[in-house]
Amino acid sequence: MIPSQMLKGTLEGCILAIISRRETYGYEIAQTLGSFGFGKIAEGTIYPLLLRLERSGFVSTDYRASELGPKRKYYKLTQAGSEELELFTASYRELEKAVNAALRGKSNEE
Amino acid sequence: MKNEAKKLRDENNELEKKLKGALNDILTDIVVYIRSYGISDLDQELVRRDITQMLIDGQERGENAADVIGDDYKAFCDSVMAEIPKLSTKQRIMTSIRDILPALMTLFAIWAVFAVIKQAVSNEAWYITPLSVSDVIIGASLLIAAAGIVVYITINSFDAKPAGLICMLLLIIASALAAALLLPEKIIFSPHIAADMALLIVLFIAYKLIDRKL
Repeated sequence: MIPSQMLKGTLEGCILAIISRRETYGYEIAQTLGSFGFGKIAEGTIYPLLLRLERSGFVSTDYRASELGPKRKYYKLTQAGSEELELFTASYRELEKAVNAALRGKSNEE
Repeated sequence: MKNEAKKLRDENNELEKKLKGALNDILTDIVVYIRSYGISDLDQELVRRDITQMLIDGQERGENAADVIGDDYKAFCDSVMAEIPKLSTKQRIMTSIRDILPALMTLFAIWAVFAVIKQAVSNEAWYITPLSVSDVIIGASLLIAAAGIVVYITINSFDAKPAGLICMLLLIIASALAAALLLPEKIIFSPHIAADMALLIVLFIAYKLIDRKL
């Protein structure tokens, strides 16, 4: 299980990545995160993050009935969201490199 | 309340009926708690719609509230509210005035009716409604107490123990009775019943105007 402190800051970017693939809704995002190995995530855990992304203009929303019946709030990536995802990806790659180096005990200069 | 918020509130009231048992109770607690935050009526209803829909979806999957929003409902609400812009001080004051005006109008109407009855029984001119110091003090105390109770209920909506609320209610009733018996019957002024009616209409118009702006 990934500690919540570690998830903080990365979950938002991962949600953007999921939404970038196709228009989707909260429960499906939570399930997708679970299938990626994030563990069981309640829809309520990601809802505040989705609200933040919506209010920041990174995603647009549309309330409509799903094919199976109930009305759902669908999230779609905006241009600003796409740019934010690129920024996140670049930052994460940098972090990944640094963490890997730290774990291996090698500095970039070596 | 703007039309958009009103429309959404009506839709949410309908949507809420789809929730059964414990899920409905939890939604009620959440909605009451959300009311304690200084956010706009529209934002309250938008969040309410999202949460209601989430719980309905969960109900259809056979899940409970903890499966949908986690174990700590209060923490969930706090994390949601952290993402919603707060009202400005001016908007907060306007909202408080808007919320207290219906209570003020009700109290004022009750006082006017009792004043007319009292005058008629005492064989005085029934259309003159004397306002005493004790009327003002009791009325103001009741309004403050009512506002206090609303704040107490909204902040503690997840608390199962109503002991504090019961104590507060008993204290208010005891204080109102004591005030009615002990306060001076000194008359401040004696308006005509037509003036009372005019003031009620003014208060109602003020309420409508403020409500439309919020």
